[in-house]
Amino acid sequence: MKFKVVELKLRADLNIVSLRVLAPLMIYFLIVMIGAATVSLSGTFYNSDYSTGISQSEENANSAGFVVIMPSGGLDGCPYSIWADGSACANGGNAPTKFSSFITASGKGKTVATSANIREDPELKSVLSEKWNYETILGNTAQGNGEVQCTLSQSIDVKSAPGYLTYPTSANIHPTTTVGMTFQAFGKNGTPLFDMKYVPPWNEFGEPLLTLGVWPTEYKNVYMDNKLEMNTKW
Amino acid sequence: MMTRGRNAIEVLIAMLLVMTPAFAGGFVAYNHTFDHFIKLDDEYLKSKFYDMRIVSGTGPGSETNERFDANVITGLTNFRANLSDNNAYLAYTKGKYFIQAGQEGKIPINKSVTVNSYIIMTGKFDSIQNVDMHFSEENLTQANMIINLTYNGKTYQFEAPETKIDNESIFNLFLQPFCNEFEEIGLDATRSDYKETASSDGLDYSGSLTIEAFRNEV
Repeated sequence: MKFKVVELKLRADLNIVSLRVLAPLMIYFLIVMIGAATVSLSGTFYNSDYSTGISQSEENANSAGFVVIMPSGGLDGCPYSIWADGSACANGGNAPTKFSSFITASGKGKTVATSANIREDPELKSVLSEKWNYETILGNTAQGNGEVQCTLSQSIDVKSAPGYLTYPTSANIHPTTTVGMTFQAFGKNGTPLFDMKYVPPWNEFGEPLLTLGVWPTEYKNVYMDNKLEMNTKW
Repeated sequence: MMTRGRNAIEVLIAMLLVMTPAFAGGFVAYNHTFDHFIKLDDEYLKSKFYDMRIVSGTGPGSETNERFDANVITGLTNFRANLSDNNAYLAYTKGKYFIQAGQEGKIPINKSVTVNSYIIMTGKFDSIQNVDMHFSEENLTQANMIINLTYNGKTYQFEAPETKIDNESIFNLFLQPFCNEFEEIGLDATRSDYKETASSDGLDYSGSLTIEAFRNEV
């Protein structure tokens, strides 16, 4: 099958001069990608003290997200510097879904980088749903103790339809869906703070991935939820 | 010549005995490929044995062993997979076996079998899965597969239907989880959690995987 390829590139390079001009206005980007096609997006959003990078590639998936960039110290009612949020899910059709993302967030002398991958065989689309979410808030001053905090969270939720159960299996078996996420953190000069983290951890098949098969049950009121989560704050 | 052929077959049988007990927590998986060729004068025996996999269990006491016996003389072919795990919920076996016995210049005898079987439970069961395939010497098309599943001290027997495609016997046995024969679903048994935390230089990280089963009110 040949896919139509659409490439969308967004870039918002704001320096302190433009922020002075635009302040106190916030800069708001809304990102929506829909379609039975291969779509990729990459963007870097930053102000003087914080930045986030978003890179997504998806095939037969829908996604939406936004980025709000404030002046570095935030404004009344918006006590943060950058707020980015996004989600994606597989869409219908008879073609496989492939989704990957790579998110970076920098501030306070540290950079975190996280990736997510989803693959789903088309046979499972009617009985399984995968949803990816992430959110990063940089330069958050609403802690009440004068502290400035940065956070990033990411999750993948794989839920079966009522009447179907999921079970872990090998990626060599089909039809299945495979999901996984990674996380890295770096200090000044790019020094890693610890080894790369994986959710799920490495399995007996030699891969840090969760592959799920689906099984129908006689009980039409049961379903399963497989949730992968990563959270960080600094 | 026949004696030599039998010797060759005995060697093959010895080599086909696959007995690999495994002790592991989490899932246990096998993926074997086995090719063998024996030739004595103008007689030969060729075998292939591949793509066999058992995935099962979450308990540290998981134990599986597999055994494949082929006896062309008696026409008996047995494949046996035993699974013993107090917290197991999935047994998956896929096997494909091919044997060719022949004499140069003559039409060889081929035997090819594919087996797929699944047993999925919500946990807390002991199972013994025996897959027995029997073939008559004269008529290689006659075969059956019987699976014995022992659960809570009771043994249930299932017979897998045979499908013939291009002279290949294919057996598929899919046991529905939560069969009526078995107990009610124990949702607590399906919960599985993984969590990891790390901290360095003022940065805190946590990662987790949660697998849960739910039941809606009807």
